[in-house]
Amino acid sequence: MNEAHFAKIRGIAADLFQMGREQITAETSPAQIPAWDSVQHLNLILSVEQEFGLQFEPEEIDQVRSIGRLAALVTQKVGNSR
Amino acid sequence: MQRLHHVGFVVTSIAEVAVQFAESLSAAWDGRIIHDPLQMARVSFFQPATSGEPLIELVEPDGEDSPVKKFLQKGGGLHHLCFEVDSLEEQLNKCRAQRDLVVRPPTPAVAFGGRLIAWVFTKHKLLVEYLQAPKTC
Repeated sequence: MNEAHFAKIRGIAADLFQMGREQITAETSPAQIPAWDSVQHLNLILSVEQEFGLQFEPEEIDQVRSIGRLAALVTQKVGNSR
Repeated sequence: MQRLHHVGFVVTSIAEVAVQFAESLSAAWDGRIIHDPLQMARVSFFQPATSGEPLIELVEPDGEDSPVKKFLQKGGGLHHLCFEVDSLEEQLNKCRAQRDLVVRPPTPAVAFGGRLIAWVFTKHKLLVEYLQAPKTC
């Protein structure tokens, strides 16, 4: 996992779910955060798209079950250089 | 062509609130509650007193994994707008071009006789359902 990507996404998630960054790990998932409902999931995806300048396919949105998975997907789409 | 088809509103139990809900809005309810397993929800439609006005849809989760379950736990309520469009494909291309989020690829909806629907989360954070209009010969 690209640490820079993870750090940015962790920051986005912390702001969105109103939590401390230290509370967000790669394993953090909707099961652990009551505020992470279907609408907030889309807010998260939209924010990450805007941050990294990419677009997710519907199938990819469904695959995001954790912050770590989201970060890995971003790295897969943008590569490690960005 | 794009026409507002209905407004979606999430509740705990359609059966428990439908009659009162209809009365409060002077709307007509035909008593049908439709289960859509692909959407993991049950839905029901209410016709406003003035004909031709957009419908009101009540939505309830069909289980713990339903996408509206957590939304309901936060209070439920106004959830989405649904627009009927002549071409769902063209509409989704337009959405992608303007950087809206296409959440699900088109799927057939039980409530609309199998017509395709797709979900879009706009960049202004509005959840929109698009419904393919019936094909005219």
